[in-house]
Amino acid sequence: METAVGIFVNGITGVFIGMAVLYLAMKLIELVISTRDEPEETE
Amino acid sequence: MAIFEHMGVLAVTPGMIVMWLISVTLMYLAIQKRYEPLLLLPIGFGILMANLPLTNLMVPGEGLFWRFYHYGVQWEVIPPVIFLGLGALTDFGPLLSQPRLIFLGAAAQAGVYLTFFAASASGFTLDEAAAIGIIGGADGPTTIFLTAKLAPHLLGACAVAAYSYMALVPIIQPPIMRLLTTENERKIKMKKGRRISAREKLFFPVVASLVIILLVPASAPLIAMFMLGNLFRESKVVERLTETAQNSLLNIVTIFLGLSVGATMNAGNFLRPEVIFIFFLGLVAFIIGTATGVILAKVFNLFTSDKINPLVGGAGVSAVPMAARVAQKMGMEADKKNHLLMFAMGPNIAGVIGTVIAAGIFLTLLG
Repeated sequence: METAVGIFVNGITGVFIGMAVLYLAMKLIELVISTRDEPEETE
Repeated sequence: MAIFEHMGVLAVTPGMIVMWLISVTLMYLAIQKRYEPLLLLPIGFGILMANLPLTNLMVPGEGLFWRFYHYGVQWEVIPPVIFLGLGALTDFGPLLSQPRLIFLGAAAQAGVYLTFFAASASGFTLDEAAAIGIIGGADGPTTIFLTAKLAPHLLGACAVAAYSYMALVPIIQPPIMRLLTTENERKIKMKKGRRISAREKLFFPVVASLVIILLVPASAPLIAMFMLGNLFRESKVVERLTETAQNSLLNIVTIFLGLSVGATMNAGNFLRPEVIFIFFLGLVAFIIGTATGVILAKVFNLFTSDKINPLVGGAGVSAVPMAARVAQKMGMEADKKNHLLMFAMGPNIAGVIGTVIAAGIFLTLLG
């Protein structure tokens, strides 16, 4: 059974790791796809 | 006469009358003030009906509203279907054009975990504390999804708190954002991000689903449906499905979600001192989430020449798109030519994903 402190630490760490990996995935998409495409839509 | 014994009017309790007043207040706020009317109106009416005596609406196995609640919420159907609609409505372009803004959405989740910790220290069980903390994500369906699994007896209080604070974003956030930023910081004009191709937008929901679900499998019901809705939208080949997910399907499930949540709020469940404390903690979570988003943007600015306007950090709490609109409004108050809406949409959308990940982590550790 996790303690409150354990969940707190795991939770914040987990969210930042998740978002960091998603950030890298976005950069990968940018690297692999955007260099091959002409921009079709603006932000 | 026997008929009098079966009349509800004789079975009304003082607690029910208090709940009627709460119900009328929510319906008033929905109709007159337009505070989250799509949810607060059915919730308000659900409360009224659930607190009429002898109706059996919430009797397990036979009540009509119980069936909506059981098969819709307890079976985890409605919140993911709502996420399908939200995904079909979401444009990830602003986030893809400035990926670094995703961290502002992560920072806002600090409010969730700090409040979880505070609630736990205040005597709530870990499951209850998680349900209270997630209010700070300002994401109604995720709050309902998590609370129904971990602390169903708090469902009404947590859902109403989440939707109330989402409606009150334009009132709660500006003082905090003003307090944490200088006039010059609010005037910062951000550089436009790069252009995003249609193909990038098409790949994103697939890649994001893989990444998030592989890391936090418990978030799968919400993330899978969110990204499927977005894939419908970006594929541009299933316009009928996209349109259905965005409109009719979303509207249908919203009716049943609101009614189900309202119906869980009977006097015995709701009229307890802890509920007031839950509302207070939910507000604290929301305030911390706003503050941490703003503060992280300021920290970023210490290390980069490409400055971020810290106001967009406040949009890291979900509450799409109200929190982004608050950033836009405050940016224009500081400088009429400072349009922050599209920049703020990045952390705003990231906040939705962050809250789902936070809920998934709670489920992983507690479920």
